[in-house]
Amino acid sequence: MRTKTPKILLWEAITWSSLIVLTIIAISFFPWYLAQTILYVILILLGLSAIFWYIKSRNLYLESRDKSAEIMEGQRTIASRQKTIDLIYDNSADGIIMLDNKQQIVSFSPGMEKMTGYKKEEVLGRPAQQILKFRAEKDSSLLPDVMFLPKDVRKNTYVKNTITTKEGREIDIEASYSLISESKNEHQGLAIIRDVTYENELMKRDKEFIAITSHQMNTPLSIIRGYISLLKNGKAGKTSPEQDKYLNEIYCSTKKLIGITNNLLSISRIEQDKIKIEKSDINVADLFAELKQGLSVKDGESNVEVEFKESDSKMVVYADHEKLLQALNNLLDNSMKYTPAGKISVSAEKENGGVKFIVSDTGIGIPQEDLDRIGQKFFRSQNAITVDNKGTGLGMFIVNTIAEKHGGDLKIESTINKGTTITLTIPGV
Amino acid sequence: MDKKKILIIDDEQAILDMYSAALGNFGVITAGNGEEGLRIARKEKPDLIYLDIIMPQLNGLDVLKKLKADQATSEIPVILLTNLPEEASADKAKALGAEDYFVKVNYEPEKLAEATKKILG
Repeated sequence: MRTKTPKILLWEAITWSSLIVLTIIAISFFPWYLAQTILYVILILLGLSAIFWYIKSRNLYLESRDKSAEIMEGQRTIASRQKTIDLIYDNSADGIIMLDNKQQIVSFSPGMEKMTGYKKEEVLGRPAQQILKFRAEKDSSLLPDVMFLPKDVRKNTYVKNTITTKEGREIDIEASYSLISESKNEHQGLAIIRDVTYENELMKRDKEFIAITSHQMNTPLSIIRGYISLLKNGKAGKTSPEQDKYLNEIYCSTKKLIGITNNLLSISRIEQDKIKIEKSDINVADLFAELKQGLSVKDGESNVEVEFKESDSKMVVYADHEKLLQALNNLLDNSMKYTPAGKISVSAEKENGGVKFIVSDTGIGIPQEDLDRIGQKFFRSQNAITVDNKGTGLGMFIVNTIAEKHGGDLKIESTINKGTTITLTIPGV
Repeated sequence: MDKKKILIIDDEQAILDMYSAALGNFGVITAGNGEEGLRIARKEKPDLIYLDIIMPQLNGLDVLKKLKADQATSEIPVILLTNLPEEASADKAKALGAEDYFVKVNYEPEKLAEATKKILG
């Protein structure tokens, strides 16, 4: 539209000048009456062309007015977006940083200033690594490096690192990042960085709390359990059958409680990666005797028959005694819990120099769709919840971890309302 | 033949009484803190010492160090009997010369008596 304006002006000039020329010609060369007629015609033409140009220029004016309104609106939108971006940039508690392709800092938000203690003026144009001393855990990458990875080789757009503040304090950060292409060879990396030191500290304290409380609970629990067993064994005189029954109840509940605290402790050990496996040769028959001892009381009153069979009385497994016992106890506990009536069998077989423990029951089974998730922390199958709503969902997670830590394997086969067979394989030396 | 002597060092009287009751076949001596334990160990020369870790003033690992540093007691087998999880201090205790590491919550009095029988033959 803008290009038409000079054209219109030209046309206007031509029209006016040709009218003037025609008027002069009419007056000079024609008799008066003829010239008068010609002049009328010219005046009419003049009027018409004035109307024509008026309409034309008015349309043009309206059109350009709309256009400029549109442009103004666009500018306003851009300004408002820019303002929003500036507000986010200035006020975000997360730090925003931009690096050029030499990994030098080109932008450093107030959030970054607050997090690191550096002022923008101190860091702009300087290498990010030199200032912030990014550090990654093993098998992980540094933020300034991953930011400039080509988009197609990136695994994700999220990384955990630590950085060092101006005061020399190391803080934990999580960052999301993206690559901005200025031109083919000019890239800038943008990262949004969050200080997660406090959250990490909280999580750590949480785990320590579990470790400390479960340990502190163990002292009174071992005293309760110890004295009940002394009473049961007649160390304080003969007990009546009724007293025995009551003692058994207390004993069972105490053992259950000890099992829970042990599992909690194991979880906190697993999460802190402090679980250690100390292997020794364990006689499988002795191991089964220990398992049986734990069962004897519950077994007496239930409708479940528990059978232990080992093919060879001299069979030995090379494993961590307490951990393996805990794993088998958890498996057996589950079978007891989810087999209202029927049979449970515990057996051991030699396999490739290692030992395969098989705990099999005729219980309620596990739905097919849940099989993959058994062994995840806190996961409980829906039908398990209906039978026993007090479980923690930690037992199988611990069994799984113990199997892994032994370099072993856990296999679960199950049919609803038919039963479950779990195979725990502990490899040989 | 004289009864074998066992020294139990623990700051919790209930624990001392509980294990003593099950170890009736042995001559059981008890000590309620680390200092007392060291003194009795030097005087009585027991055949086996059960030693708790978390105790006020002198903790079990320090007691163990002193027992092993003293010629009079360095040969006595020491077993830690504690509720601290194995991962926490079993390695350290064994490096200091402990024979074994028992977690109380897994050792009912009778189980400890059986283990003791095995150790002392």
